[in-house]
Amino acid sequence: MRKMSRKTFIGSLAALGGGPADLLLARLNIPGRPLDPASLRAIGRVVLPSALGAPGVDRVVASFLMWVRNYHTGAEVLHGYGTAELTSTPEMPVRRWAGQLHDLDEVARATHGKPFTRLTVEARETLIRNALKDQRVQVVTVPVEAEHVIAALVSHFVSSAEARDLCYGAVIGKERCRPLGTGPNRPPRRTS
Amino acid sequence: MTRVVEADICIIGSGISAAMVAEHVAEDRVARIVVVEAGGEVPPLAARYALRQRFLDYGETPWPKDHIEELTATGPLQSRSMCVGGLAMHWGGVTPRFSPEDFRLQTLYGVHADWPIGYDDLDPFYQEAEVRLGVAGEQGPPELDPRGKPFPMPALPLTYNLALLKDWAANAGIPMWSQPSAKNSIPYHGRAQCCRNDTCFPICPVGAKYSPDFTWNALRKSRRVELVTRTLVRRLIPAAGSTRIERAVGISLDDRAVPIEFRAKTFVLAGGYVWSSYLLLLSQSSRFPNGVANSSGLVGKYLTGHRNVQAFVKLPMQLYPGINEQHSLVTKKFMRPAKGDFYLRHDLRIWESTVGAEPRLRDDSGGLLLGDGLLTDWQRRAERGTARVRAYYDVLPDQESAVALDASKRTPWGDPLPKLTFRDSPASIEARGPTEERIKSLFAELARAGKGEILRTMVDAFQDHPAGGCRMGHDPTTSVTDGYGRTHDHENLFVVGAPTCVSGSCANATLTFSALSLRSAAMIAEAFPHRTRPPRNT
Ligand SMILES: Cc1cc2nc3c(=O)[nH]c(=O)nc-3n(C[C@H](O)[C@H](O)[C@H](O)COP(=O)(O)OP(=O)(O)OC[C@H]3O[C@@H](n4cnc5c(N)ncnc54)[C@H](O)[C@@H]3O)c2cc1C
Ligand code: SF4
Repeated sequence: MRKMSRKTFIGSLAALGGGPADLLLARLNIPGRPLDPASLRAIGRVVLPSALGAPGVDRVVASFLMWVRNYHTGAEVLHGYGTAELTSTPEMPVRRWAGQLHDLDEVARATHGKPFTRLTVEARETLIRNALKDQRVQVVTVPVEAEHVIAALVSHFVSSAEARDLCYGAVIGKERCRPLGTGPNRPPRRTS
Repeated sequence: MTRVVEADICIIGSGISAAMVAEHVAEDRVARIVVVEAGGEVPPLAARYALRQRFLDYGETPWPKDHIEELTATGPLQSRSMCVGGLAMHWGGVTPRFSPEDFRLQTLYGVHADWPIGYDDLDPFYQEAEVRLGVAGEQGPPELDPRGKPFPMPALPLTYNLALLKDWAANAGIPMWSQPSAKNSIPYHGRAQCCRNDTCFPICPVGAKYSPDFTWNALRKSRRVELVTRTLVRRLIPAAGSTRIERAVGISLDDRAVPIEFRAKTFVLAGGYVWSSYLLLLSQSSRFPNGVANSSGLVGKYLTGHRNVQAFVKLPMQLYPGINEQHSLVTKKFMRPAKGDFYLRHDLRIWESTVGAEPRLRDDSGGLLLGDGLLTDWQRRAERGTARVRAYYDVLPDQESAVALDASKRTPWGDPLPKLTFRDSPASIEARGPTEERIKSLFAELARAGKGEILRTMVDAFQDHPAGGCRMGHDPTTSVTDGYGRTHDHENLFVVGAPTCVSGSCANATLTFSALSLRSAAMIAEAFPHRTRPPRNT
């Protein structure tokens, strides 16, 4: 039997259309509509701290996209303490998140005649605030549970060691391997 | 055809208790030791960094398939782990001792029951367990924290945060010290020093935290122990016309069609607090209608543990959470009930915490926080530090606090599954309200002493470090085993570790399970000849 190339295989799934194809694509972790990195960067400049600077925001977005790409639906989750229940990772709502990016762009075009990525920071902030006005956005410890892609991006960032250090103005380096002997010292000041 | 495995000693289970027994006996005695473990192998140390990363990034378990789908329990099961190394593959590695009072509750306070052994009987085995596991600890005040010999390793250093929190507790009149832990403060037994990367629970990526796989790897390498995995023992069979256990029969979970049978001089049941009693109860026959080792009717009974009250206290001090969040301070000051007071014993631990200082996307009035607004709000909330304070308190078990067989739920191979019920004794039911109130008042006092405020308080209904089910005692009518874990009914059947506990104290209990197992091991070893040269001096 001829082996189907990965690309042909995905193409034939997409041709199925609707539910089963979406499900299979999700299982393969290939979202139907990918998250647009440029839109995420444009959002990142508004929702992430300015101290990161443009390169820092780009880095966070790249890390977020990598995180999305490497996600496995249905993976075994660490079983809880004091319970017999077993759970697995839910499907990542990439389709919804991509739709939310798409919606921002649509509104930008309708109101400013330009794509979202070409708006000024102020205009982008206004649209973001409008988009989130009625949403139950919150920082979540498990970003896959974020209702909105913006909350997922922010949650991804604030759970990082870099964000913790930025908040405390110190090099704590949480969850990294550090010499045991330096634990008693006040963490050094964060410089840049 | 039945596969038959012959041994001198057959150990059922490969958790920390089994590892202690196997290592102790194999080191010193000539005996063919076979260990039967229902679960499978765990990922090697070299794979653990990557597994840890997926846990941190996605919450995936770093111990995939460490459980057996078909083996579960109704009721508050501590963990689904059934694998080589058992639950201690993802334990936190916290290893306090019980206190001397624990063993004499009836004599000293007129409650529950005394153990057939005292703290002094266990002290050398505590010491041995501390050496084998590698415990880093600081001697507390000797009157509260007596010990025959120093810890084998210096204490894990107090972090910058814990040093400040220690001063805070001292201001409130509470002496605290570094929590003893089975984590390497220096390189130890060929394992790395801790690098405080803070995922002890559920996985240490460098091997600085003790887990039983290290013991099994060494024992297998030395060919002193054979480990048979993915094999579940389903029945213990006494010999005809004798009370000695002759065989342990089971199935391979990979090939259920082939029965497997273990024949040995001595059987050691090291299945933890659920599965040990479960196997004894399952082993019913016309001669032993209530299961083996159960002439007292107490197999499965008196399950014990401790509940906790915890609070988060905001304090006017700058802390830097993340230096080593899993390390804590501990005190034993409250493990001795005050004279004339109602029966109340608890421990107290303090950790750094991020509670109340989390980043957020909406402020108190619901306004959206973005970019620098989010950071400024987060920084403002983090200006004051947060301490997590927690007290485990004694819960004395009722006889009907029990593991039982549940005929309504069965494994695919037809055995009933276990059902767990935790029930306080009438005295503990009465004391519960005042106990929890007293602990909350202590937290309030602590908060006041530091000019802090309590953010929230919680009571956890789960009884931690569960134990019991085959309690030890002198009297065969009121206990299942003697003080060495030897069952009263079958001279060659030992139950070791957690199930033999008479009460659960108010401190993490695994070091005690290990010490009890080592005391059993010393007795088990006596039936076998000495090796000429012991390989390691503990
Ligand atoms: C998340 C977590 C964190 C913890 N942290 C701490 C801590 O910091 N400090 C502390 O003191 N304690 C802690 N504990 C508790 C500690 O892990 C346990 O008390 C300890 O590991 C129990 O060891 P055990 O040998 O008694 O039993 P287990 O670890 O349960 O081992 C028993 C083994 O026997 C096998 N088995 C059972 N029946 C059979 C059979 N019939 N046939 C074949 N095999 C069988 C099982 O598969 C299992 O692997 C923690 C537990 C968890 C889950
Ligand atoms: S802090 Fe890290 S290195 Fe140290 S014992 Fe825990 S997991 Fe291992």
